[in-house]
Amino acid sequence: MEPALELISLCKRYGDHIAVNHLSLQIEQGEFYALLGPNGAGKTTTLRIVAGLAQADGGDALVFGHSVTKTPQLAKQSLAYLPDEPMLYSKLRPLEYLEFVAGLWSTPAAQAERYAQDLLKKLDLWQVRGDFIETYSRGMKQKLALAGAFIHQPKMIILDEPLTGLDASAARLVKDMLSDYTRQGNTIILTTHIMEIAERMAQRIGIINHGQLVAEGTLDQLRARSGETGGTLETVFLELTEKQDLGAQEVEQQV
Amino acid sequence: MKVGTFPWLIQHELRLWWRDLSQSWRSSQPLWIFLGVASLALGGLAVLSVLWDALSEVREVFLNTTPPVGVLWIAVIAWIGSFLYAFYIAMERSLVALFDRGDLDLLVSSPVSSKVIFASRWLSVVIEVFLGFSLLVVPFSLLVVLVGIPKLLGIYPALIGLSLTATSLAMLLVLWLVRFLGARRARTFAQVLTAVLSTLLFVAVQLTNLSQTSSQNIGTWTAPLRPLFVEGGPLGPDSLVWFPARTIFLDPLSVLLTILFSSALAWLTIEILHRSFVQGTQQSVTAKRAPAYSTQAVHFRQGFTRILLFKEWRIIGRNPYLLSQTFLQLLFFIPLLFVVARDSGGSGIAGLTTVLPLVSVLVGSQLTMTLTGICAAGEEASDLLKSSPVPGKNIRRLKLLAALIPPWVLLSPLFLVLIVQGAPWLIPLVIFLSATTCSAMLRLWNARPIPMADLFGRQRKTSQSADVFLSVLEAISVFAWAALAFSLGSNHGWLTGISLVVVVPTFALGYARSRALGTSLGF
Repeated sequence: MEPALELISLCKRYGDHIAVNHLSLQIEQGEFYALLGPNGAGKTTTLRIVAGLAQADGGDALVFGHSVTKTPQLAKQSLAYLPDEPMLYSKLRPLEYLEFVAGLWSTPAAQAERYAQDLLKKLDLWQVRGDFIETYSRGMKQKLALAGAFIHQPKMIILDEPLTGLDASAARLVKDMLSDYTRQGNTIILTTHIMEIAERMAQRIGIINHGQLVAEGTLDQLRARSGETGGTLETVFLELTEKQDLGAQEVEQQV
Repeated sequence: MKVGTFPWLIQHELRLWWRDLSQSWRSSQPLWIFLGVASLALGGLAVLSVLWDALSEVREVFLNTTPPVGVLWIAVIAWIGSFLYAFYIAMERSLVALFDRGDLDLLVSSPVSSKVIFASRWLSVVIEVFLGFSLLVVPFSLLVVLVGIPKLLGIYPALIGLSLTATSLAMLLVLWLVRFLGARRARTFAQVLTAVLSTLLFVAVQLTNLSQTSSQNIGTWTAPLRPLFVEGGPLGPDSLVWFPARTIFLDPLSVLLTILFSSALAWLTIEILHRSFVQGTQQSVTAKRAPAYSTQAVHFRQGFTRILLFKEWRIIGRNPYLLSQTFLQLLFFIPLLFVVARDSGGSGIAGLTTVLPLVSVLVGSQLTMTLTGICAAGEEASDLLKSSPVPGKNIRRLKLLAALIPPWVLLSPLFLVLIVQGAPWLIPLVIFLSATTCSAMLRLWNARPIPMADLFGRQRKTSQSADVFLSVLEAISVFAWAALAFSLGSNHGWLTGISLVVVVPTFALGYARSRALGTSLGF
């Protein structure tokens, strides 16, 4: 079985700043993968390259075997990307928005209509389906954007900080939806600063810093790697990223 | 300066205003600003030297007597026109200052009193209005001093009074609308009202350009009102009502009345409105969602072309501000068309073949450019489009189509009129379709992403809308197409040749520029 996502020595530079530095990793189908890293580590840039929103300067990303640089349309067909600041149409109503997103992925109209209604009911947006999106709160917009990611039933969903702005019950609902989705054989890749979410939900965790993969594996594997036996993901994360920061400083001093 | 006081807040407001202004100046072409100022200065000097003798006579009139009746009426009309414009600017800026600026929550939740916050906002709008006019008034005041008519320096107290009055009334209206309609609807209403006001003002100013028949009609309509305006009448030249205009001539009583009236209005505005301001702000932030606009079932369409077209048209149709601004731009052509109709001297079919193709090109091109700007530059979810499997060029083509279809549908009756009247219609139709497509493509190729609210420069959060080169290129293109349409209807062969010579390179230049700069639309 082909991996859901394979990054092969991916590179991205903004001027002198190296955002992604020969990053390679592999995520299997049906996996719930959490990509963690400090601010500016290159998480969002990596995910934007995979979603086709930024171009890599080197290397490649394969989505279900399709290259995002050579066959972007095929790669995008089985993928949904939810950015941390979802972009919605203020003057559309939620069902109209979902109709548009379904159209972008050529989802059959009847199927999309049924699924859109189910999603709005599930996400507690059905009562406000007649309102324009501009009247929605931040959390409601986040839930609608999530519905947009689900509407075309992609095989892989990439979520950048998906729980921002959600209240406790909505966050719980979203977490359940994501877990169910992976149980159906689909793949979820998620970035978050809330360690507890990654710790409880992710099957594997990748930690990147300075555009490079610092460590990867299950929570137990990461604990073993950091030497923090029995520690929380937060302590493991801090230990591993600080080690890398110290290593980078030593290299700089030697240079 | 003591923090949290009125002067401190004013300093804060002015600093923000100055940074906005200097930022927009930096990003717009300084060369154009320099050229504009230099042209104004040189033009002023040229006018002064040519009119020196005539101005000397004017000086004698002002030095020795009170202003003649004719001059007073000119001043009255100028004051009313300026007031309407100031009111328009003040409403626009009040909406931004009271509802759009992101720092209101911070200020209202601070220990600074609501009266001080409101007064500082009010004064910042007054200053913006005043400075907006000052750019026009300073060269004029220098001129009157040079000519030796210091009496006309009364324009400054008149302008201060006008800025205070217009801002106070504009804020009153804005907050009153918020109270009765709610923040959201008030905003829309105020936007439409300001657009209509400015259109009326423009059309009123251009009334003299209307045909002679219209001028005669206006004379007939206004005949019953004339007794009111004769000497000694309630609205006659000696009436107290015109004290704001007489302030311009430094009439002591009028200056005193202007200062007293505008200061009293300002004081009352701040005293009465600062509580409404806090309530309005809270309403705008925590506005209860209006009841569902529509719970009708939405039936999903099959086929991306239809879905995208309907999505674009929904967004355009649901934005009254965009619509009002779009049609406002079209209304500005009305006086021009009257002039063309009058000067071409044609009536019946001859008139139709001249005017209708011209109308179709001017209105169609302007409408198409605006709609292309909304569909392409105003795209709100470019990341969504780019992350979808639909190729960007397909999306751009469909957006072009979405912008072209409404003008084609709206203006097609003009060609039906030509057909019914037996006038030539095929070539005008081809020119119309070509002109609108050309205008849409120029705009699409060179579009830069702009937030919807900035498309007509309302919130001034970005200065990207000020693409002077593109504006000039588009204007040349539209007028060349219009000239082509006009020349074919009026048999001016030379104009046809010139138009064709202009149209082709303009189109090529627009394409070459877009290739050189690349697109930043994101889809």
